[in-house]
Amino acid sequence: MKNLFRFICCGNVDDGKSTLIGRLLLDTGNVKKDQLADALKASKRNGSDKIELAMLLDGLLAEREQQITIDVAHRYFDYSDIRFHILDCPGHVQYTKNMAIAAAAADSGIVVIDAVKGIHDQTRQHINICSLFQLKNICVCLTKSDLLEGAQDKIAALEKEVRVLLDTYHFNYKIIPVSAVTGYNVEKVLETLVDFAHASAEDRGAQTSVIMHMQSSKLYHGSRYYYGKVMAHEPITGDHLAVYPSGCYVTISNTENLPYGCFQIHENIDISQGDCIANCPIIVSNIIKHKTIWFDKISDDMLLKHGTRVVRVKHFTDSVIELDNDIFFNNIEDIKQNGFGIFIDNVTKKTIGCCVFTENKNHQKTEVSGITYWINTSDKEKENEQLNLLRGKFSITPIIFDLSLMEKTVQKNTRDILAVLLAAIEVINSQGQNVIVIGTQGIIPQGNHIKVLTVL
Amino acid sequence: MTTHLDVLENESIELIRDVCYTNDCSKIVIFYSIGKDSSVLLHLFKKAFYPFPIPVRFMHIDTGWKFREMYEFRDRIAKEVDLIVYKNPACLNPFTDGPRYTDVMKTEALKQAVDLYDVKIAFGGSRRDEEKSRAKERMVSVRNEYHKWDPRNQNPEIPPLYNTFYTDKTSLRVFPLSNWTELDIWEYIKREQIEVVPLYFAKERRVQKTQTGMYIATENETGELLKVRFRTLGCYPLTGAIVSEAETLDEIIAELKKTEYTERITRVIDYDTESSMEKKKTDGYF
Repeated sequence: MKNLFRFICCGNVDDGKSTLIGRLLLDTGNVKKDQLADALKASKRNGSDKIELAMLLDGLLAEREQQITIDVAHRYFDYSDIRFHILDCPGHVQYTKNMAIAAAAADSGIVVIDAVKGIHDQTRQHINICSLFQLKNICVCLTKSDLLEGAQDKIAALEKEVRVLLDTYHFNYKIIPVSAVTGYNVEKVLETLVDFAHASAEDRGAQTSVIMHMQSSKLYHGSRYYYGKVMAHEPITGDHLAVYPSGCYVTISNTENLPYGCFQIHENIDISQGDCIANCPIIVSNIIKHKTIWFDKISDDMLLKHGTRVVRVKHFTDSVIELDNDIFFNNIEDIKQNGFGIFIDNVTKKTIGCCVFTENKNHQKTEVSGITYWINTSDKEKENEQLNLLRGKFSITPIIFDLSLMEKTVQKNTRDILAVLLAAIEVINSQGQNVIVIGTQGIIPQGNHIKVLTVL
Repeated sequence: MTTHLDVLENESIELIRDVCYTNDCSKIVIFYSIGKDSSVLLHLFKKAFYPFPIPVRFMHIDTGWKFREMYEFRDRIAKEVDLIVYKNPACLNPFTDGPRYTDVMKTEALKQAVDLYDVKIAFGGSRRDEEKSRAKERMVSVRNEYHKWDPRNQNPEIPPLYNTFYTDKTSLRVFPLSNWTELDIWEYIKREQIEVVPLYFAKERRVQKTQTGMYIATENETGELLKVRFRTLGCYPLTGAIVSEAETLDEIIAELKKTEYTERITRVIDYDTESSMEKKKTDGYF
């Protein structure tokens, strides 16, 4: 079984992106005979007697005629134990918007730079967009390096220049001089991509955030099913999650044998379309700092779509947007998948911009203090005794989170304990209550209470 | 471990739900072509809304020239789902009407059906790996009031934030299988035990050779008896068979891993001129 790895290929026009991708497809045995014949026909019409590798990629008539890439091309190839999904981007300034689309979908990329011509403004612009969309791994390919044969110093100088540029960002990068035409170093590029694919799979594996935006909830034969869009991890049975905007907490009672993004909960609570559930801090706000890439003219009547909410834009400046309702998001630098939205013109319904949420503070949750008590719920009598003691001590009704419902997963996964703690903090925050009781069967942390001073 | 098939399945299910939950389902149809991709699409729709029934209708644009086995399969599926069958009353003949046949019986028929049933959103099983112009198409693709595709002026698409809005003047085509390859389709059919038309499996069948060297099915006794299967299914006079020994899903998967040609060579409609699919699509073909 294969791993799926998405990466973009970007860079200035004519620096040889499509040619390089064509070479990667060819060398990994992913071009079929009829595709080759088709590309040869197109190459001949353009006055070339051998196959131009770019013809394997450029699919639109206008692209073949003008020999440029206008729109992102999606290509797929299998190599090693990986399914590669390449998003080949256009290099022309006027099609930069299409490059941004691709960058949102990937976490790694190839940046192509013509070894003879060097770094172009458009290259910088593309690298900027890669950074804006939090791409982690960048493989810089200095293409057409066969034309500089014997001029090693020139390549070394360009490498240095690229290094200086990339060091101003936070990429994990590699620079490789290549020639797509002769095949020089193409294998190295493939190796690098395989490394990136493995690193990216590891990153995903290490992520523990559960974030879902709700699509629908429905009753079937007396039980309620919830459906949502999974932004980070999918919840598992026993997960204890905060619901936005209501502020209540739910425990997942069932995900087994249900489709992706579908679950049931213990509580009888309505989570409606547009709501969000999560086990990690989520920013809830209608005033948001952002950076936007425009695809079209900005409109007076705009909608912002994020998660499963579509809200009206009340006020817009280059740095801040004000919406007529809250959305539930993260800064793109924290959780990429939950860190951007799209602007839709409310009249034409066209997508006119992509808006990245950045440097927002979580205002609702700052400096709180409270006490959480852990009690043993395996013994009912003892449990009541302890609760009565606490009631007497604090003259309030303690709020109980019962960890025993998620006993099995707790042993496997510390993220559930964190989720409970977060949930506890949330209650301290929203209800001004400073005593929280967490019930558990057996596993009680050292000491009988934990003082929670600051939000995680 | 999450495999590539899981990722593809999850993305498709999310898109399907996103479109159906944010729009009036009576304006949505699923174009059902009876082929393997349609079978997978149907399966994904069942999964997406489980345990509820699929909330939208299926629509088959019939030409009257499909394989007998396809009609049998379709009629069985029709007992399970809400299926509309539409056929252009012009009733052209692929043998005698030439290229006009596809235009009238498929492209025109599709536009007529969309207008007749007031469809604003149509799902389809197209994949980007099928053809180069498809490789450029969005998963949610806008059509103008004449059902035309403008490849140079597409809506920017940033998954998973699909723009599922349409206006009085536009309608949408949605392709949940965009990122799937032919091999993925078969591996998924195997994994999920999805039923497909038996024509996909190799068996001795009567065929005749066309002028272009393609084998097409025939019921004429003079036809050659060959062990063949079909990689794609459509109108039988326009669908080429391939000589094959692949009788099981495992054998089909093994055959695909070795094949030197794409499935497109078995389609007369795609293969006549370079970029012909783009032209058909800009005219309103699916």
